[in-house]
Amino acid sequence: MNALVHFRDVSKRFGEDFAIREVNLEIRRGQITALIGPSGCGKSTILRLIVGLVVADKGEMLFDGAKIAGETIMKIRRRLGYVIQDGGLFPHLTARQNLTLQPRLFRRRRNEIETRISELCELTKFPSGGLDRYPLELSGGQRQRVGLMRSLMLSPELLLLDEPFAALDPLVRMNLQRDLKEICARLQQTVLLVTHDLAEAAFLGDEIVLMNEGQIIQRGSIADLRAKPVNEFVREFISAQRGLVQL
Amino acid sequence: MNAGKESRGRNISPANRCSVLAVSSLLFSAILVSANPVIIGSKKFTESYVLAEVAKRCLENAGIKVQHRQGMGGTIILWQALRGGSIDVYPEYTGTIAEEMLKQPGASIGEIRNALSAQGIAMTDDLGFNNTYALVMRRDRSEQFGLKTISDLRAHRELKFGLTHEFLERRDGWRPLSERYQLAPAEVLGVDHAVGYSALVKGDIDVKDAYSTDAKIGDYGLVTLIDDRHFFPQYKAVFLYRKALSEQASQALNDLSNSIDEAEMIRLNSEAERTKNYAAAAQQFFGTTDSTSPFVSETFRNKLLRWIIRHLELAGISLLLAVIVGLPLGIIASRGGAVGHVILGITGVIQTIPSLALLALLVPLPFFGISVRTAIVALFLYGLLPIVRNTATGLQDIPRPLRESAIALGLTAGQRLRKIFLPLASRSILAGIKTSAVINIGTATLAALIGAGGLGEPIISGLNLNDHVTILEGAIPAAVLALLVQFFFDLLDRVLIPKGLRL
Repeated sequence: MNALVHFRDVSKRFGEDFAIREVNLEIRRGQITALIGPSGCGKSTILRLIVGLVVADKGEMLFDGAKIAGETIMKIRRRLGYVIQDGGLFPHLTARQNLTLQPRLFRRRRNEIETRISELCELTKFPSGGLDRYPLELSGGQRQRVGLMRSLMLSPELLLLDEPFAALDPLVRMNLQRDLKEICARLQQTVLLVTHDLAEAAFLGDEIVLMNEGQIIQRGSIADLRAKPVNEFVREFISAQRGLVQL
Repeated sequence: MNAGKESRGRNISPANRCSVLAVSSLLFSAILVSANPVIIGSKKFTESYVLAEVAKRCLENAGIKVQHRQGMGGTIILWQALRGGSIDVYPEYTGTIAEEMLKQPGASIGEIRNALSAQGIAMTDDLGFNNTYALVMRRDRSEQFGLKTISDLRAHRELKFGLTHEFLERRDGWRPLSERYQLAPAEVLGVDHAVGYSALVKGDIDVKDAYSTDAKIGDYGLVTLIDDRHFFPQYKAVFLYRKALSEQASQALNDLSNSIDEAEMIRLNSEAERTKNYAAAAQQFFGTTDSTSPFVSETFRNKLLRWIIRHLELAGISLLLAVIVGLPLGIIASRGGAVGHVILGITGVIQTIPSLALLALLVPLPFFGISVRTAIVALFLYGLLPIVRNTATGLQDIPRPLRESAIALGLTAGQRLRKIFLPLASRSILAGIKTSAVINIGTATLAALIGAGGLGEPIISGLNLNDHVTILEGAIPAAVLALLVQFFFDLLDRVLIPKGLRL
C-alpha cells in the first residue's frame, strides 16, 4: 500500500449538520496533497480527525496501517507535524524553547536537538540569531518558519498544514510558499495541506482534492480539474480564482 | 448588690501571699521549665482584661508561665474554650454562670460548683465584689435629697431617670425593678450608656443604670444606691479554671478571693481605661508601681511586632492553603460541566457568607473552637474563590489554536498543563492569588474576635473602649501591610509571569 493515510466512509456531524459525509480518501506518501474548497466544506475537519482533535462518528481511519483511535492517537501524534495559521507558537516560550519542547519531553539528547535545530534553520532560512526571541518579537513570516521548524523537529512522517499562510502579506506568503515547496521536495515529505487558495493549492499540490458540503467532489492535478470538471461546481470554483492575466 | 463592699475588705495583701508562693514554687518551676504555659482568657471588656492581668501577675509571681489571650469574645466563646481546653482560666460572674452557662437561674454557689465540677471545671471563691446592675446618682443630688437606697427613690417622683435601652428591656431590668420597689417616676428616658453619663453629670437626668464597678462611677464620683430589696441578681466575680490545672496554680488563684472590693475594682477599671494599659492597671493592685518591677508591660514596638507576625501567619498560612486547594479546583472547574459549576457555585456561596458569621459558624464545630486554626480555616475559605475563579477563567481564555497545538504536539494532559496551559494562564492565576492575599490581610483583623490575635487585637479593644488611637494602632499597620502585599505581588508578577507574555 502506497498510501500513508486511509479514510473509509468517514462521517462526522456537529449537531444536526454533517461536517463530512462518508468520505473516502488516501494520502499518498512522498507527495503534497492539497485539500481545497469553500469555507465550511469540511477540509479542516479531515485534518483535525487525523490529529485526533475531533473523533469520527462513523467509518474507519488508518495511519500507516494502524487504526486512528483513542488508544493509538498519542503514538500517532508523535509521527505527525502540525502547523496552523500564524504558527501556533506558545507566546511564553522563545523560538528555541518552542522547538525543543517536544523533543525534550520525548527525551531526545541535547546535542541531537541542537544539530536538528541548525539543520532546520538552514532549511527554512530562519536566522539563528532569532532563536532566542519570543514569538511576539518575530514577524509573521518568521513565526511561520519557526512553526514549520517545530513541526519538523522529530522528522514526522506526515506534515499537516492548516491554512498556514493565510494571515501573511502576499510577498512574504510567496517566499514562504516557494521555500516550503523546496523543503518538502528535499525531504520527500508527505504533506496534507488545507487551503482555500486555489493558486496556493496549484503551486504546492502534487494532487488537488476539491471538497464541497462535506464530500469530495473531484481529485487530480490542476490540469485535470480545469480540463475535465466533473460538474458545474468544479467549473465555477476553478474560474472564480482569477489571475492577473484575466483582469 | 453591695454585699462585697460591706463585708469583704482587702485583709491580706495578695502580693505577699503570692511572693511566699513564688519562693516555694521557684524550685518546681526550675524543674518544670518545659511545662506548657497556663493560658488565661478574657472577655471583650475592660474589667475582664484587668482581672485576667491580675491573675496573670499572680501566677507569674508564683513562678508559673502564663499567657493572656485578650478579649476573645463573649460568654459562650470563653465557656467553650475553657471546656475544650484551649484556655485554662478566665474571669466570670456567678449570675452569668448560673443563668447563661448552666441554665440554672438562682442556683446556689454549692450547686454551681457541683455542676461545673461535672464538666471538669473548678471555681474560686468570689473575688470580693459584685458587678451587677446598679442605679447611680450624682453625689450632690443624692445628698440634697438624702437618698441612700433604691427604696428612698419612691418618695421623689420628680427625679428624672435616664436608662439604657437594654436595661429598659431586660428580665432583670427596669420593669420588674420598678414593680419590686413600686417606683413610678414622672419621666423615664431611654439614653445611650456613654451619653447617659454626661447627661447625669450635667444634671439633665438624676438617676441612671450602671454596672456596679463601672470606671465612670469612680471618675465622676457617683453614688451607688443600695439595692435594699435585693432585686439585682448576684454577679460576683470569680475565676473559672480547669480542674486539671496544677495544685500551685489553683492555690495562687484561690488566694485572690476576697481581695478586691467594688471600690478597688472601680479604681482599677478607671486606671485601665485612662492608660489603656491593663497590665499596668493590674500592677496597681499589687501595689508595685515602682519602675524597678521586672513586670514592665510590653513595649509598643514589641506588641506591634507580635501583632504583625501573627497577622502575617494567619494571612500567609491561609493563603498557602487556598493556593494548594484552589489551584486544582480551578483546573477542574475550567473543564466546565456539572462538576465545574458545582465548584464555582460552592466557592461563590462561601464568599457571600459575612466573615463574622463564618467565624461564628465554625467556632462550635468539634475540630475548631476558639483557635488560630479556626481563623486560618475561615480565611482559607474566603481566599478560595478568587483563586479558583481566576484559575478557571485563565485556563478557559487560552485561545483554541494554542490549546490544539499543544495536543497535536503529542504532549500528555499533565505535560500540557504544566508546560503550556498554567504558564499561559499565569497572569490571571496570580491576579487571583493577589486578590486573595489582600482580602485575607483585611479579613484577618476579624481573627482577634476569636482570640487568634493579629492586628485586629488593638482594633477590637479600641472599638470596645471607644478609643480611636488604639483602633488606629491596628488599622494603620493593617492598611500598610495590605499595600506591601500588593507591592510584593506586583514584583512576583515579574518573576513568575513568563517574559514572553509581558511583551
